[in-house]
Amino acid sequence: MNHRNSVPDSDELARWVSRTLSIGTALAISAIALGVLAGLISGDASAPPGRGIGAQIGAGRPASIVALGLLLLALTPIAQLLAAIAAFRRQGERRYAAISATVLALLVVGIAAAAILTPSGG
Amino acid sequence: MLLVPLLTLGFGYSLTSAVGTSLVCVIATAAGGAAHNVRTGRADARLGIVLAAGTVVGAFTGGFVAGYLPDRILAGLFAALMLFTAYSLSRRLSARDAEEGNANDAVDPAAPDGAGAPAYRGRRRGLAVGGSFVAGNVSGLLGIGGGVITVPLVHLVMDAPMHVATATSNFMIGMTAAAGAFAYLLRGDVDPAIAGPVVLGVAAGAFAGARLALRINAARLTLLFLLVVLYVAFEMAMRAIAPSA
Repeated sequence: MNHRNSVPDSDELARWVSRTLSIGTALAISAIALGVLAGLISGDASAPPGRGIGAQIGAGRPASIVALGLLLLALTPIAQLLAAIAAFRRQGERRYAAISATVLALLVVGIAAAAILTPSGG
Repeated sequence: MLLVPLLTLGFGYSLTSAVGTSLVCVIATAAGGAAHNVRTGRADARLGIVLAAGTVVGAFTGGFVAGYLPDRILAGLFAALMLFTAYSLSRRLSARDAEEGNANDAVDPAAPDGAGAPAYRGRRRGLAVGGSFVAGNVSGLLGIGGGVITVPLVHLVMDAPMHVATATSNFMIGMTAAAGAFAYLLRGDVDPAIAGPVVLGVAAGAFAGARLALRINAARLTLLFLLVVLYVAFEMAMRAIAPSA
Protein backbone atom coordinates (compact mmCIF):
# COMPACT_ATOMS: atom_id res chain seq x y z
CA MET A 1 0.00 0.00 0.00
CA ASN A 2 1.32 3.40 -0.91
CA HIS A 3 0.86 6.65 0.95
CA ARG A 4 1.65 10.06 -0.41
CA ASN A 5 4.32 10.68 2.21
CA SER A 6 6.01 7.29 2.41
CA VAL A 7 8.36 5.47 0.07
CA PRO A 8 6.63 2.60 -1.70
CA ASP A 9 8.71 -0.52 -0.88
CA SER A 10 8.44 -1.88 -4.42
CA ASP A 11 9.40 1.38 -6.06
CA GLU A 12 13.17 1.30 -6.31
CA LEU A 13 12.85 4.15 -8.76
CA ALA A 14 12.09 6.53 -5.88
CA ARG A 15 15.09 5.43 -3.84
CA TRP A 16 17.59 5.29 -6.68
CA VAL A 17 16.61 8.54 -8.35
CA SER A 18 16.40 10.56 -5.12
CA ARG A 19 19.73 9.17 -3.92
CA THR A 20 21.41 9.98 -7.26
CA LEU A 21 20.07 13.53 -7.23
CA SER A 22 21.16 14.11 -3.63
CA ILE A 23 24.69 12.72 -4.17
CA GLY A 24 25.17 14.56 -7.48
CA THR A 25 24.06 17.88 -6.04
CA ALA A 26 26.18 17.44 -2.91
CA LEU A 27 29.30 16.65 -4.97
CA ALA A 28 28.73 19.58 -7.32
CA ILE A 29 28.01 22.11 -4.56
CA SER A 30 31.06 20.87 -2.60
CA ALA A 31 33.33 21.35 -5.64
CA ILE A 32 31.90 24.83 -6.27
CA ALA A 33 32.33 25.79 -2.60
CA LEU A 34 35.90 24.44 -2.61
CA GLY A 35 36.73 26.42 -5.76
CA VAL A 36 35.24 29.64 -4.40
CA LEU A 37 37.13 29.14 -1.12
CA ALA A 38 40.40 28.40 -2.96
CA GLY A 39 39.88 31.58 -5.02
CA LEU A 40 39.36 33.65 -1.88
CA ILE A 41 42.45 32.19 -0.16
CA SER A 42 44.75 32.50 -3.18
CA GLY A 43 43.37 35.87 -4.22
CA ASP A 44 42.83 34.55 -7.75
CA ALA A 45 39.07 34.50 -8.27
CA SER A 46 39.18 35.53 -11.92
CA ALA A 47 37.82 33.35 -14.71
CA PRO A 48 40.33 30.92 -16.25
CA PRO A 49 41.31 31.56 -19.86
CA GLY A 50 39.52 29.61 -22.57
CA ARG A 51 35.92 30.00 -23.63
CA GLY A 52 34.31 26.58 -23.21
CA ILE A 53 33.81 24.63 -19.97
CA GLY A 54 36.49 22.09 -21.03
CA ALA A 55 39.12 24.81 -21.39
CA GLN A 56 37.99 26.42 -18.15
CA ILE A 57 38.44 23.15 -16.24
CA GLY A 58 41.82 22.50 -17.84
CA ALA A 59 43.22 25.92 -16.91
CA GLY A 60 44.34 24.68 -13.46
CA ARG A 61 43.14 27.70 -11.47
CA PRO A 62 40.74 27.98 -8.51
CA ALA A 63 37.90 28.91 -10.86
CA SER A 64 38.61 25.64 -12.72
CA ILE A 65 37.36 23.75 -9.64
CA VAL A 66 34.20 25.87 -9.79
CA ALA A 67 33.85 25.03 -13.50
CA LEU A 68 34.20 21.34 -12.63
CA GLY A 69 31.42 21.75 -10.05
CA LEU A 70 29.20 23.45 -12.64
CA LEU A 71 29.81 20.54 -15.02
CA LEU A 72 28.98 18.03 -12.25
CA LEU A 73 25.76 19.94 -11.61
CA ALA A 74 24.81 19.80 -15.29
CA LEU A 75 25.65 16.06 -15.36
CA THR A 76 23.47 15.27 -12.31
CA PRO A 77 20.18 15.08 -14.31
CA ILE A 78 21.94 12.69 -16.72
CA ALA A 79 22.85 10.48 -13.75
CA GLN A 80 19.19 10.84 -12.67
CA LEU A 81 18.12 9.33 -16.00
CA LEU A 82 20.68 6.51 -15.73
CA ALA A 83 19.33 5.67 -12.26
CA ALA A 84 15.76 5.74 -13.63
CA ILE A 85 16.69 3.37 -16.48
CA ALA A 86 18.36 0.93 -14.06
CA ALA A 87 15.40 1.05 -11.64
CA PHE A 88 12.78 0.59 -14.36
CA ARG A 89 14.70 -2.38 -15.78
CA ARG A 90 14.99 -3.95 -12.34
CA GLN A 91 11.26 -3.46 -11.74
CA GLY A 92 10.46 -5.04 -15.11
CA GLU A 93 8.96 -1.84 -16.54
CA ARG A 94 10.57 -2.15 -19.94
CA ARG A 95 8.38 0.51 -21.53
CA TYR A 96 9.50 3.23 -19.12
CA ALA A 97 13.10 2.01 -19.27
CA ALA A 98 12.93 2.54 -23.04
CA ILE A 99 11.35 6.01 -22.69
CA SER A 100 14.05 7.02 -20.16
CA ALA A 101 16.74 5.70 -22.49
CA THR A 102 15.22 7.75 -25.33
CA VAL A 103 15.31 10.93 -23.20
CA LEU A 104 18.92 10.14 -22.25
CA ALA A 105 19.81 9.60 -25.93
CA LEU A 106 18.16 12.95 -26.81
CA LEU A 107 20.25 14.65 -24.11
CA VAL A 108 23.50 13.02 -25.28
CA VAL A 109 22.81 13.80 -28.96
CA GLY A 110 21.92 17.39 -28.04
CA ILE A 111 25.11 17.84 -25.99
CA ALA A 112 27.19 16.36 -28.83
CA ALA A 113 25.47 18.66 -31.34
CA ALA A 114 26.09 21.68 -29.08
CA ALA A 115 29.78 20.69 -28.77
CA ILE A 116 30.15 20.32 -32.55
CA LEU A 117 28.24 23.50 -33.40
CA THR A 118 30.04 25.60 -30.77
CA PRO A 119 33.03 27.45 -32.26
CA SER A 120 35.18 27.07 -29.11
CA GLY A 121 34.52 23.33 -29.07
CA GLY A 122 33.91 23.25 -25.33
CA MET B 1 13.07 33.40 -12.28
CA LEU B 2 14.32 36.72 -10.91
CA LEU B 3 17.99 35.80 -11.23
CA VAL B 4 18.24 36.78 -14.91
CA PRO B 5 16.88 40.32 -14.35
CA LEU B 6 19.04 40.64 -11.19
CA LEU B 7 22.22 39.78 -13.11
CA THR B 8 21.36 41.88 -16.16
CA LEU B 9 19.64 44.91 -14.64
CA GLY B 10 21.62 44.87 -11.38
CA PHE B 11 25.11 43.75 -12.43
CA GLY B 12 25.25 44.61 -16.13
CA TYR B 13 25.56 40.99 -17.33
CA SER B 14 24.65 40.20 -20.94
CA LEU B 15 21.36 38.33 -21.16
CA THR B 16 22.98 35.18 -22.59
CA SER B 17 25.51 35.00 -19.71
CA ALA B 18 22.74 35.61 -17.17
CA VAL B 19 20.51 32.93 -18.73
CA GLY B 20 23.36 30.36 -18.70
CA THR B 21 24.17 31.11 -15.06
CA SER B 22 20.49 30.97 -14.15
CA LEU B 23 20.06 27.54 -15.78
CA VAL B 24 22.88 26.10 -13.65
CA CYS B 25 21.24 27.59 -10.55
CA VAL B 26 17.90 26.08 -11.60
CA ILE B 27 19.51 22.61 -11.62
CA ALA B 28 20.98 23.21 -8.15
CA THR B 29 17.64 24.20 -6.63
CA ALA B 30 15.45 21.74 -8.57
CA ALA B 31 17.58 18.67 -7.82
CA GLY B 32 17.08 18.98 -4.04
CA GLY B 33 13.34 19.44 -4.42
CA ALA B 34 13.06 16.62 -6.97
CA ALA B 35 14.95 14.22 -4.68
CA HIS B 36 12.47 14.98 -1.88
CA ASN B 37 9.40 14.78 -4.14
CA VAL B 38 10.43 11.44 -5.65
CA ARG B 39 11.38 9.96 -2.27
CA THR B 40 8.04 10.93 -0.72
CA GLY B 41 6.02 9.80 -3.75
CA ARG B 42 4.66 13.27 -4.58
CA ALA B 43 6.15 13.41 -8.09
CA ASP B 44 4.89 11.16 -10.87
CA ALA B 45 8.32 10.11 -12.16
CA ARG B 46 6.82 8.04 -15.00
CA LEU B 47 4.80 10.95 -16.35
CA GLY B 48 7.76 13.29 -15.74
CA ILE B 49 10.07 11.19 -17.87
CA VAL B 50 7.54 11.03 -20.74
CA LEU B 51 7.12 14.81 -20.71
CA ALA B 52 10.88 15.34 -20.33
CA ALA B 53 11.28 14.03 -23.87
CA GLY B 54 9.52 17.21 -25.02
CA THR B 55 11.20 19.63 -22.63
CA VAL B 56 14.73 18.33 -23.34
CA VAL B 57 14.43 18.78 -27.12
CA GLY B 58 12.80 22.18 -26.57
CA ALA B 59 15.54 23.31 -24.18
CA PHE B 60 18.30 22.38 -26.63
CA THR B 61 16.54 24.32 -29.36
CA GLY B 62 16.01 27.32 -27.09
CA GLY B 63 19.59 27.28 -25.76
CA PHE B 64 21.02 27.06 -29.25
CA VAL B 65 18.81 29.79 -30.70
CA ALA B 66 19.48 32.13 -27.74
CA GLY B 67 23.15 32.33 -28.73
CA TYR B 68 22.14 33.98 -31.99
CA LEU B 69 19.32 36.27 -30.80
CA PRO B 70 19.97 39.95 -30.03
CA ASP B 71 19.64 40.94 -26.35
CA ARG B 72 16.65 43.19 -27.08
CA ILE B 73 14.59 40.29 -28.47
CA LEU B 74 15.44 38.14 -25.43
CA ALA B 75 14.49 41.10 -23.22
CA GLY B 76 11.13 41.38 -25.01
CA LEU B 77 10.48 37.66 -24.55
CA PHE B 78 11.42 37.94 -20.87
CA ALA B 79 9.05 40.88 -20.41
CA ALA B 80 6.24 38.76 -21.93
CA LEU B 81 7.12 35.88 -19.58
CA MET B 82 7.05 38.23 -16.57
CA LEU B 83 3.61 39.56 -17.57
CA PHE B 84 2.32 35.98 -17.91
CA THR B 85 3.82 35.17 -14.48
CA ALA B 86 2.14 38.24 -12.99
CA TYR B 87 -1.18 37.06 -14.44
CA SER B 88 -0.66 33.55 -12.97
CA LEU B 89 0.26 35.03 -9.56
CA SER B 90 -2.83 37.24 -9.48
CA ARG B 91 -4.97 34.17 -10.26
CA ARG B 92 -3.19 32.21 -7.54
CA LEU B 93 -3.93 34.97 -5.03
CA SER B 94 -7.66 34.55 -5.62
CA ALA B 95 -7.66 30.73 -5.96
CA ARG B 96 -5.19 29.84 -3.20
CA ASP B 97 -7.74 28.50 -0.72
CA ALA B 98 -9.35 26.21 -3.32
CA GLU B 99 -5.97 24.71 -4.28
CA GLU B 100 -5.07 23.99 -0.66
CA GLY B 101 -8.31 22.08 -0.29
CA ASN B 102 -7.21 19.60 -2.98
CA ALA B 103 -3.73 18.99 -1.57
CA ASN B 104 -4.63 15.66 -0.01
CA ASP B 105 -6.32 14.02 -3.00
CA ALA B 106 -5.48 10.31 -3.00
CA VAL B 107 -3.21 9.61 -5.96
CA ASP B 108 -0.53 7.00 -6.37
CA PRO B 109 2.02 8.47 -8.77
CA ALA B 110 4.29 5.49 -8.15
CA ALA B 111 1.81 3.10 -9.77
CA PRO B 112 3.08 1.64 -13.06
CA ASP B 113 0.71 1.76 -16.03
CA GLY B 114 -2.09 -0.76 -15.72
CA ALA B 115 -5.44 -1.01 -14.00
CA GLY B 116 -4.20 0.91 -10.95
CA ALA B 117 -2.43 3.69 -12.87
CA PRO B 118 -3.59 7.26 -12.25
CA ALA B 119 -6.26 8.16 -14.82
CA TYR B 120 -4.65 11.46 -15.78
CA ARG B 121 -1.52 9.72 -17.10
CA GLY B 122 -3.25 8.66 -20.31
CA ARG B 123 -5.09 11.93 -20.90
CA ARG B 124 -4.06 14.14 -23.85
CA ARG B 125 -0.52 12.82 -23.65
CA GLY B 126 0.43 13.97 -27.19
CA LEU B 127 -0.74 17.50 -26.49
CA ALA B 128 1.14 17.50 -23.18
CA VAL B 129 4.42 16.39 -24.83
CA GLY B 130 3.94 19.15 -27.46
CA GLY B 131 3.35 21.68 -24.70
CA SER B 132 6.44 20.38 -22.90
CA PHE B 133 8.49 21.16 -26.00
CA VAL B 134 7.30 24.78 -25.75
CA ALA B 135 8.15 24.79 -22.01
CA GLY B 136 11.65 23.50 -22.79
CA ASN B 137 12.08 26.18 -25.43
CA VAL B 138 11.18 28.93 -22.97
CA SER B 139 13.53 27.36 -20.40
CA GLY B 140 16.49 27.23 -22.78
CA LEU B 141 15.83 30.74 -24.10
CA LEU B 142 15.16 32.53 -20.83
CA GLY B 143 17.01 30.51 -18.19
CA ILE B 144 14.01 29.38 -16.16
CA GLY B 145 12.88 25.90 -15.12
CA GLY B 146 9.78 25.94 -17.30
CA GLY B 147 7.42 25.21 -14.41
CA VAL B 148 5.41 28.28 -15.36
CA ILE B 149 4.20 26.24 -18.36
CA THR B 150 4.54 22.60 -17.23
CA VAL B 151 2.54 23.00 -13.99
CA PRO B 152 -0.62 24.32 -15.73
CA LEU B 153 -0.02 21.83 -18.56
CA VAL B 154 -0.05 18.79 -16.26
CA HIS B 155 -2.81 20.22 -14.06
CA LEU B 156 -5.19 21.67 -16.65
CA VAL B 157 -4.48 19.62 -19.80
CA MET B 158 -3.86 16.24 -18.19
CA ASP B 159 -6.20 16.79 -15.21
CA ALA B 160 -3.57 15.77 -12.63
CA PRO B 161 -4.06 17.17 -9.11
CA MET B 162 -2.18 20.40 -8.46
CA HIS B 163 0.27 18.88 -5.94
CA VAL B 164 1.20 16.14 -8.43
CA ALA B 165 1.57 18.73 -11.22
CA THR B 166 3.92 20.88 -9.12
CA ALA B 167 6.07 17.96 -7.93
CA THR B 168 6.21 16.33 -11.38
CA SER B 169 7.19 19.63 -12.98
CA ASN B 170 9.97 19.95 -10.40
CA PHE B 171 11.12 16.41 -11.31
CA MET B 172 11.52 17.45 -14.98
CA ILE B 173 13.15 20.82 -14.34
CA GLY B 174 16.66 19.47 -13.73
CA MET B 175 16.69 17.51 -16.99
CA THR B 176 15.25 20.48 -18.88
CA ALA B 177 17.68 22.99 -17.41
CA ALA B 178 20.65 20.65 -17.98
CA ALA B 179 19.72 20.35 -21.67
CA GLY B 180 19.72 24.14 -21.99
CA ALA B 181 22.74 24.68 -19.72
CA PHE B 182 25.13 22.60 -21.85
CA ALA B 183 24.73 24.96 -24.83
CA TYR B 184 25.77 27.90 -22.62
CA LEU B 185 28.57 26.00 -20.79
CA LEU B 186 30.11 24.78 -24.05
CA ARG B 187 29.92 28.27 -25.59
CA GLY B 188 31.71 29.67 -22.53
CA ASP B 189 28.76 31.93 -21.71
CA VAL B 190 28.94 30.94 -18.02
CA ASP B 191 31.78 32.63 -16.12
CA PRO B 192 32.73 30.27 -13.23
CA ALA B 193 34.16 33.15 -11.19
CA ILE B 194 30.68 34.73 -11.10
CA ALA B 195 28.50 31.60 -11.35
CA GLY B 196 30.22 29.86 -8.38
CA PRO B 197 29.19 32.35 -5.68
CA VAL B 198 25.77 32.80 -7.34
CA VAL B 199 25.04 29.04 -7.28
CA LEU B 200 26.11 28.83 -3.63
CA GLY B 201 23.95 31.84 -2.74
CA VAL B 202 20.91 30.50 -4.60
CA ALA B 203 21.29 27.01 -3.06
CA ALA B 204 21.59 28.51 0.44
CA GLY B 205 18.64 30.82 -0.28
CA ALA B 206 16.48 27.90 -1.43
CA PHE B 207 17.39 25.94 1.71
CA ALA B 208 16.56 28.87 4.00
CA GLY B 209 13.51 29.89 1.96
CA ALA B 210 11.91 26.46 2.25
CA ARG B 211 12.05 26.79 6.04
CA LEU B 212 11.07 30.47 6.16
CA ALA B 213 8.09 29.88 3.86
CA LEU B 214 6.36 27.96 6.63
CA ARG B 215 6.40 31.02 8.87
CA ILE B 216 5.60 33.73 6.31
CA ASN B 217 2.15 34.83 5.21
CA ALA B 218 1.89 33.20 1.75
CA ALA B 219 -0.63 35.69 0.36
CA ARG B 220 1.53 38.66 1.36
CA LEU B 221 4.61 36.98 -0.12
CA THR B 222 2.77 36.30 -3.38
CA LEU B 223 1.63 39.93 -3.54
CA LEU B 224 5.21 41.15 -2.98
CA PHE B 225 6.48 38.77 -5.68
CA LEU B 226 3.74 40.01 -8.03
CA LEU B 227 4.91 43.63 -7.59
CA VAL B 228 8.57 42.67 -8.21
CA VAL B 229 7.60 40.69 -11.32
CA LEU B 230 5.63 43.68 -12.69
CA TYR B 231 8.63 45.97 -12.10
CA VAL B 232 10.95 43.49 -13.90
CA ALA B 233 8.46 43.22 -16.79
CA PHE B 234 8.55 47.02 -17.15
CA GLU B 235 12.38 47.18 -17.03
CA MET B 236 12.77 44.34 -19.54
CA ALA B 237 10.20 45.92 -21.87
CA MET B 238 12.13 49.21 -21.73
CA ARG B 239 15.32 47.31 -22.54
CA ALA B 240 13.62 45.70 -25.54
CA ILE B 241 12.26 49.02 -26.81
CA ALA B 242 15.34 51.16 -26.10
CA PRO B 243 18.40 48.89 -25.43
CA SER B 244 20.70 51.78 -24.44
CA ALA B 245 18.26 53.11 -21.84
